[in-house]
Amino acid sequence: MNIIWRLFLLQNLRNERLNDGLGFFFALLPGFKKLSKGNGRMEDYVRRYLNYYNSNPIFSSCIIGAVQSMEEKKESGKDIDVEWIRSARDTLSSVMAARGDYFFEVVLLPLTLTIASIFTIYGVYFGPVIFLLFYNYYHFKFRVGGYYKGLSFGDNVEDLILGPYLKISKFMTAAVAFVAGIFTSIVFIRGYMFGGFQVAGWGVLLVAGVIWLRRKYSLRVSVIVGFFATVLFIIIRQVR
Amino acid sequence: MIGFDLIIPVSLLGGALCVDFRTSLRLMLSQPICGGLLTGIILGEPFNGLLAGTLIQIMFLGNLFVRGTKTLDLPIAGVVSAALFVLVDLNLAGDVSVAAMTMIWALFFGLSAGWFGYFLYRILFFKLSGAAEFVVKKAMAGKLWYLSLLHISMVVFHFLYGFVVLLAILPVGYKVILYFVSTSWRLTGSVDILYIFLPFIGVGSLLRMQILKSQGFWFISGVLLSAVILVFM
Repeated sequence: MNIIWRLFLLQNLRNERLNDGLGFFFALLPGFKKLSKGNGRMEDYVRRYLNYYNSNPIFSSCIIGAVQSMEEKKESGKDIDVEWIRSARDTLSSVMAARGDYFFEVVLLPLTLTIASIFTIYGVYFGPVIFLLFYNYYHFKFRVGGYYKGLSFGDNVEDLILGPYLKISKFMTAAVAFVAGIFTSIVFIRGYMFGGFQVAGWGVLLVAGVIWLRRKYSLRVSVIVGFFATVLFIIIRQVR
Repeated sequence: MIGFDLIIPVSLLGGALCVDFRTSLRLMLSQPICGGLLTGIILGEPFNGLLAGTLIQIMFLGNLFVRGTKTLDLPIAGVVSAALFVLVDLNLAGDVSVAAMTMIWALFFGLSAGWFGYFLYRILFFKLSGAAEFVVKKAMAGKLWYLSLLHISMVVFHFLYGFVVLLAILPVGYKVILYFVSTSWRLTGSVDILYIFLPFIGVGSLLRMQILKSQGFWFISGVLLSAVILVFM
């Protein structure tokens, strides 16, 4: 339990030098304290794990569980090389970063947020509730469940986590595209019904403009420019 | 004037949502669509809060929050927009004729606050390296409590950042918006007009996502199905 709440503070102190290294070590600190009691090995743990770490914060729970499990096995007398544990952590962090970012940031968030936004466009209150339930189901499944899986299966956790993940991920990628299609259609049809071809045509121009800007600049810049262009267009429409 | 009895609870919410966003707690209450609704609930106008939060959310639908480093500070943007819209709307007793103008200003202040947060955390990302190196040195010397103290104190920092930004921006934004909506030239119209125009930005940000390139069939299916339902039913 002392480790679980720390999993939720992984990115507290993000910085250029260690990225989430401090958060990773902070999460494992109670485990290391227990393992180093009486043998003074804490300095070894500091050297091995208080360094650069960068991975998806939710899938990191599996890695933290796996590292704890391997260190416990080593401490109980199993012949495990310390360098091997460290390289297993680095490999897992790369894999989990790619998979976790794709699943949570690229697929799950846009999918659930687009669904919630569609609900709100039609004046339905509970869009955010659906979003929170849907997102947090997977969030806790991988965050807390992932930690226990890591603890049980050590470095084999990758296969156990990624097996079910791959199935859902494939389905959800298609779902994002499908929901994005629904959203696009709703926005253009509402635009056309409101102001005919003038508004729908403006919409096409704005969408093309945002896509073009996004190629050269960040989304922040694209959205801000799009926002001001829209306000200008609304003012011009009213003046005319 | 707006009283502190309204500003303080909203600022506390802003601080709490910053903790959710920056610590990797990630319950996603910090997303503008949820933050807007919560702000509305606190101020007694849940639906107006939701409307403002959702507009921010829709514009950033294609935003990828990959570990939150290069993104606008959306929690603050959502709460500021929702709070200013609700507070001004309450002052104008729900005058629908200037709701669009109020919302545009509220979104402007929200986006500006979001930019500020983005810059602040970019600077912190580099500046905190010094603190991290110090903590590592101390840990090597066996003083691990420095690490724990610094790590936990950042929760307080994230909270205070959200709290202070909201405390500073709400009174100013409120006065500015009230001034502009009471001038002789005003943009008239309800919030509905913004729900017609601003989602186009969201469509643009969604279509730029790489995964849609490989999922053309499903995207077209969604467009056609929705079009058939909306046009013929």
